[in-house]
Amino acid sequence: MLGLRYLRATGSAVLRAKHHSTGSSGDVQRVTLIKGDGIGPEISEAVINIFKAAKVPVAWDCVSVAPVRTPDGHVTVPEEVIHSMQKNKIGLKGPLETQVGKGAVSLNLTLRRVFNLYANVRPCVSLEGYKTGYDGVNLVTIRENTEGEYSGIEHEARMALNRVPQFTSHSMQVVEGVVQSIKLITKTASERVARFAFEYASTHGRRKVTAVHKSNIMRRADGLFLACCSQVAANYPQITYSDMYLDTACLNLVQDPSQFDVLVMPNLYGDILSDLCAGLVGGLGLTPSGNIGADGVAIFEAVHGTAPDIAGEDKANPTALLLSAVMMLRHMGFQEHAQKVEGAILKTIREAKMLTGDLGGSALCSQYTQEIINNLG
Amino acid sequence: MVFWDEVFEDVAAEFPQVETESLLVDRACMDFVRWPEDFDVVVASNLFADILSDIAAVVTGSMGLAPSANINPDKVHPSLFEPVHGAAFDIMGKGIANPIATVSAVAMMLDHLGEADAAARVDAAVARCLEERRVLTADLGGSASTSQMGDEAARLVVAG
Repeated sequence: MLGLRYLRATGSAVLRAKHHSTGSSGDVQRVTLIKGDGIGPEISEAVINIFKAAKVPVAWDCVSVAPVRTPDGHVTVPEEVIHSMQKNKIGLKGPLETQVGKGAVSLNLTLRRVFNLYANVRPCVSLEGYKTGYDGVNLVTIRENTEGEYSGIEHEARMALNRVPQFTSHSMQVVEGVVQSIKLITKTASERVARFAFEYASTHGRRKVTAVHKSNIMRRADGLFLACCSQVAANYPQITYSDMYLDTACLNLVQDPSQFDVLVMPNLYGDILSDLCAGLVGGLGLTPSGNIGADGVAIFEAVHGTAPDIAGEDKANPTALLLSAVMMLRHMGFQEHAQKVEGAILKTIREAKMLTGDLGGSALCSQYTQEIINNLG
Repeated sequence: MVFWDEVFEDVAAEFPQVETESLLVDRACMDFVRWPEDFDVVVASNLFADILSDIAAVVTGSMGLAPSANINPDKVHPSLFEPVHGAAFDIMGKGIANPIATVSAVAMMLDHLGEADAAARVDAAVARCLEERRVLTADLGGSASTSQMGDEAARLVVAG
């Protein structure tokens, strides 16, 4: 029963996109591949090689996301990326460099906005053969990915002459050392992610959906989010719906993660909890991720960093990108191929004969990749 | 310009003997569950520390052990010391609750009051009690009652 729990989490009848093949030959589906920075290219090679050996009917359209500046001064992704994704609908992405606090626009954020990737899905399952301090983890975090605390609406507080704080910019004096950051919660986005979460739970045979929030503190913002979740829940009587305060959820996740099934939440909490859950099963090097957008677009990605310190040294662990690619295959309807590739990965980890350094072994990336190919059987 | 980082760096500059590090909160959560022993003092803004402190309380082994202090550093108003855990109505009156969180909160209080030696003695007694593993409440895998564990900690304070 290799990785049966894992199969259940990453899904068989997954997030089925209304995907229409645009005339590619036979059954081969074209997928947009963004190799990424740092270790991105070498782990992408691992995916390409394993898929080739497994005869997966996927052809890769490689594109660069090096940012371009539009005539009106905005930084965005190149046209070819947009066209490729609109044609193929499905993308696989390696890690991208994000410069913190230097005024550069995050490319990850740009992709999200351009393709309206509204739900981030991260299955976290305990891996046989890779022991962590936490057992029996089999949950999925679903994060609203377009608004919330990440709306980018910030300002320094300003004071009018009569010393009353105001937030418009005319004839105001900046108040030193006071900044405000706006958390935006809308009915549209909240309903959309809630609907997605319940639909996902239904199609994957998951039994419970838990909304995570702090509506006791952010009464209107999280209150609205919660209300939307309850409303959607009413349409899925076969799914058990509950809600939990964010700090309580964190506490419970660390105490007994096996109690959780599907978790849905606004942006920041999802950012934090999805990483926390990845930590429970072994970290970002082992965690797949999928981003679901409007119009059938989906981008699957490795969520770890670019690891510039080991880039180009054949030391990287490609597992996260591989498992994301498997998630992608399921999304595309290639269940058998997904199962075959995933089985080989899980077998390699379980047997622990050829593992990369971060997994406790001493194999090179290419050796680990070859071992997976050998285990395709 | 990240406001939080700026302020942190400004204050850190006044304490050159203290090693500092800056982590994004999602990464911090992950590291808390994977390598909690790597952390020493963690400072964070309101929401983030709400999350991190709850994770930390459990990662150390039991909610029954985690103390907490709500400090008014200027000492204009009282500071409040309390266990992190809640009222635990389900085990109320059964004499099985772990008293150590409250005991350790008292140690924090003594420290705040300037009684560093007394605080150290209480902390040392708690540490010994946990190391010896003879008298432990159920949440720690033992079968001692609340008062038995409390008495043992008290005995070790005197003996220490």
